Amino acid sequence: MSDLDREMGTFLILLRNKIRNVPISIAALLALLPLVPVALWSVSGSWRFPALWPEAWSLRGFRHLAEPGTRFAEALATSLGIAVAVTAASIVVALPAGIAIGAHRFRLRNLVILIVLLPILVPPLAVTLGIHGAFIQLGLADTAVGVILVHLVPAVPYAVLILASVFASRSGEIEATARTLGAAPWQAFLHVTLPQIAPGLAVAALLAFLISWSQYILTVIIGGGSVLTLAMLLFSAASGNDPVVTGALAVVFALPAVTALLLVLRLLRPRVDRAPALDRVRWAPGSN
Amino acid sequence: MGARLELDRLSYRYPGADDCAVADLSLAVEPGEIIALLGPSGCGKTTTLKLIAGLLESEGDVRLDGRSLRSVPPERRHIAMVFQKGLLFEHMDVEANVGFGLRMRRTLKSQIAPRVHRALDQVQMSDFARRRPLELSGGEQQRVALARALVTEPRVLLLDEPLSALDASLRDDMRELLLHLQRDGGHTTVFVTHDQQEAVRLGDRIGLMFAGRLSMYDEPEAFFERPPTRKIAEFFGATNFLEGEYADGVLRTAIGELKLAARVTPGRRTVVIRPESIRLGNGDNAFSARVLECRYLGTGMQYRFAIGSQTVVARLPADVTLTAGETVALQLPPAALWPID
Repeated sequence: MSDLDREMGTFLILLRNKIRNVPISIAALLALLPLVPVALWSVSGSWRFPALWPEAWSLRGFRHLAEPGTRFAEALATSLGIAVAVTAASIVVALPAGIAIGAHRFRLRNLVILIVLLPILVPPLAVTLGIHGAFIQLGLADTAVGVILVHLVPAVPYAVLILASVFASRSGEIEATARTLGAAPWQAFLHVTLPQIAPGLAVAALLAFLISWSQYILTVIIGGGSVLTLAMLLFSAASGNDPVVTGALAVVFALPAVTALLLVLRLLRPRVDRAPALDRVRWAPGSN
Repeated sequence: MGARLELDRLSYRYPGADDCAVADLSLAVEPGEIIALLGPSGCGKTTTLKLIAGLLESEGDVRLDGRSLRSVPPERRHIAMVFQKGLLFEHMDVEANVGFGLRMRRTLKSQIAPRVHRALDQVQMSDFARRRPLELSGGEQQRVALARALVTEPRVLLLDEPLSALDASLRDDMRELLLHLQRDGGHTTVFVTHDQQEAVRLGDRIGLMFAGRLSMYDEPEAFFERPPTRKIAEFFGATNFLEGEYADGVLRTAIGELKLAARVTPGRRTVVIRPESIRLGNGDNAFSARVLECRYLGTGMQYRFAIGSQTVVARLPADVTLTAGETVALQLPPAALWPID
């Protein structure tokens, strides 16, 4: 390969990566756009129908949330706690499952995949009604633990899918290399596998978090009203008639989702981006 | 110094596969020797390396200096394997990559840095210690991978197609470097290749594999000069096979009688002659041949001749200029005719 070819190659890689980012950016924009009116509502003082823009601004909505009577702090803490627990449990369950399905071929593998995916193929509501009965007998109904468990029903399959695809794209030779260099299996996993699957792991975790965070029906059925989450608070506010408070609540509710979206965008950015270090990029006009 | 490596009737079948990927493979590699496992793709070469490294559980035994490695896990075999593509740890810089094996074996911190730097020096990558793998070219990655294996002072070094991913120009440099390091360090080395030339240039001995079985294990010359079967002769570029009835020191073939230098038992026999062994001129086994086709090879000319009904391919010096249709005297020297099964 001549120098010129190599420089053209470097240039094309850079160009391709720029172009590849365009659809991602459009997708991000489309996801964020609906949040604009909600965000505007949350800080408006007065916004009557024909006006395109709020006529006055205020922080009334957020101040209202801070009042103890709204149970906002409690719901926020419950939502966060449940979502974090669901995330952790999803990863713990999905990681071995993802490795098994992604990296190994075994008998009845397709059946196992089907069973793993069943909870998202069958409407969760139908599953949950059955689970509710069992949970009453087990004393898990109306408890946070019960809610965490039922959130795992839709969260785990997605986490398994993501991690399985991560492991399907790995040959295992990198771990094999580590083994022959003196790493025990756990060392190879800790020092080689884990850092390399970190982006996939993060995406799976974020998805599990968001699935739990935005869960409403499952929480209501299993929690029976004694477990109050932000989603439930938002639902009741939305059926009330104060769009400013609803807007403020929606903004808080959307915050983790938006943060997650931005984080995922960062993690999913093509890795090649970093490949040509500056001192190797020599295609600047006139340099040759 | 490397260890003596012995493979004793190694067999391996991938789960669910019908045929063995490696069947009943036995060979020995002397300390400090470098051998090539050569064969077409899918013949079980790489699987054999994995069996030696302990990455797959095999039937049969692998012995180092006479001691069985059965039930010794890869990390305690001190057999380092470099896979086909550099396979560096992309989340570590070059220095951390090379130091990986030492860290895993809990080498004293104060010893790691100097050993890593010496290893990087050996592969001429000292200036790249802080680089990330993705910032390196294929050849550079390969050199780092080699340093990462060598720094652990392995008793056996396994290399999977070490040169195949490189450009032709880099390949020569890498081959020289590899040989130099291997001789210097006295590492017992097994490398896998599908390239016959590479096996010849690098290997002290070559193990030729077909379909999981070791067909022949010998020095490179033997594959050219004394191939036991037609298949092996063909794999090493011999194209001319002559069949006949052997009696009283001559082989009676379709083109006439051939004198043989080799001892042969009487009966129906086939002999092989390499294209570069055929000469122009008269003498024993000289025939009148018609030029069918000529091709310029850069280092010489390749001609196709017809001797009666038999076609032979000969490689002649570039200054020999024959034209198609011309008739010349062609000699098949008796010493160059080798009987095969």
